[in-house]
Amino acid sequence: MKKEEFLSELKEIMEIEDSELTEDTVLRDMMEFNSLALMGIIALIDENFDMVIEADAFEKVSTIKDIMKLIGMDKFEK
Amino acid sequence: MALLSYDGIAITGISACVPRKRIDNRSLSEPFSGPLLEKTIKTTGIVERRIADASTCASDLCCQAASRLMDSMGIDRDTIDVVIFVTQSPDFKVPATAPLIQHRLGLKKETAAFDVNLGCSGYVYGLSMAYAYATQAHICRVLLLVGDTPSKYVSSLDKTTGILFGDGGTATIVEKKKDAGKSFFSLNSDGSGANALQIKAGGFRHPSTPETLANVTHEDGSIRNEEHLTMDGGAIFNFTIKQVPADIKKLLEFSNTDISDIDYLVYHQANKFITDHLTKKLKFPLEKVPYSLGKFGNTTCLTIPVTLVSEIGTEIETGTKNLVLSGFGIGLSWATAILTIKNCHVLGMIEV
Repeated sequence: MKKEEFLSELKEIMEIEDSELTEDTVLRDMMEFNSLALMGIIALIDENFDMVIEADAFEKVSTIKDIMKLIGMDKFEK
Repeated sequence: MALLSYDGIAITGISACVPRKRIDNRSLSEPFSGPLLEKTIKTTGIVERRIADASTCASDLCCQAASRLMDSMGIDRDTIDVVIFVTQSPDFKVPATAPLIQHRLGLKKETAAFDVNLGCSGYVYGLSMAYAYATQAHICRVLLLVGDTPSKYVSSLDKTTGILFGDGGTATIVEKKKDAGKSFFSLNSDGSGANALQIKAGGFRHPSTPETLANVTHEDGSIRNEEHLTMDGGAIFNFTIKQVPADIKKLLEFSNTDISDIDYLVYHQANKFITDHLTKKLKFPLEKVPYSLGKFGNTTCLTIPVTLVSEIGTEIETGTKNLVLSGFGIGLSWATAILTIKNCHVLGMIEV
């Protein structure tokens, strides 16, 4: 999965329509970030990277980039 | 490793009873509201639930289901040798409820009767025990009763749990049957996750006090006390997507079953988003996964028999169906069964 695809899927999960989502977007600034969104993100990562990230790990996450680091930057297609 | 197999034992009858009173999740008021409520309904798939009145216990719903099933099957009550009652809502703290049920159903005194305290995995665990007893020469029939009234231990004002659960009671008859074929079970536990779904106080570790019963408003607007169920949804989701597909695959391998020979995969009805994800992980067709949670919600230990009755009752009554049953959650505890049901006596949903 490419970074752009990941961002666009995240946008859909978090139901963001009118603003842009970038690697520097701070997760907690999104009103839509709740336990349902968290489940959606964990499922998205499991489906595309075959890895299960612990829900607890998201407590230390600030930006979208931090999530991508949990997955591993090298796992994204160029 | 708790892998079990049986030959020549079958489910021959099954029934489910729910209270008449419906709760429509869309009609809920504060602290549930607006777009988030609608999104939660859409994600979980839980639209309606049934709630027992103050005087109705899980055992009452199970007794209704059992009486009508035994009458409809024309079962002589003296042929019931074991009663297993799986519940998280016993009538009393002590004694166990199963002996009371033995008496209420007019079963003989030579009946083994005991309770099992399990939730989401409870039907599959209970079934594995029923099958084990049924193999015995002097056991004619086992009556497996699985019922719960989560409405009595969940705060209706808790934003995490308040819209998920419903009440009900089920009865399943297990006995020897020559053409039953083989059945397989896998049973598992991980107590390190016990606090992911828990009622903290009111037992003997943290006895009931006025403080544990005092309602507290939490950061997210939820109102509950320490004798209400709490749920860490993220932790449960992590656990489920890691353990459940792996356990199903393990049992398919153990039983030498090809997943393409499975007619229905019946999950514990926790949350449609979670189980759809499991199905995708297993590369199993979504149309072979029945759901009853839209109508009855998460009824804890009895979601699987409720789904068997309400969604595929006709199919298991008239045909031969290979099923995977998968229960997972509180404990943490999870269990899988692979079995064949054919010409099973199924009563339509009973409402009281």
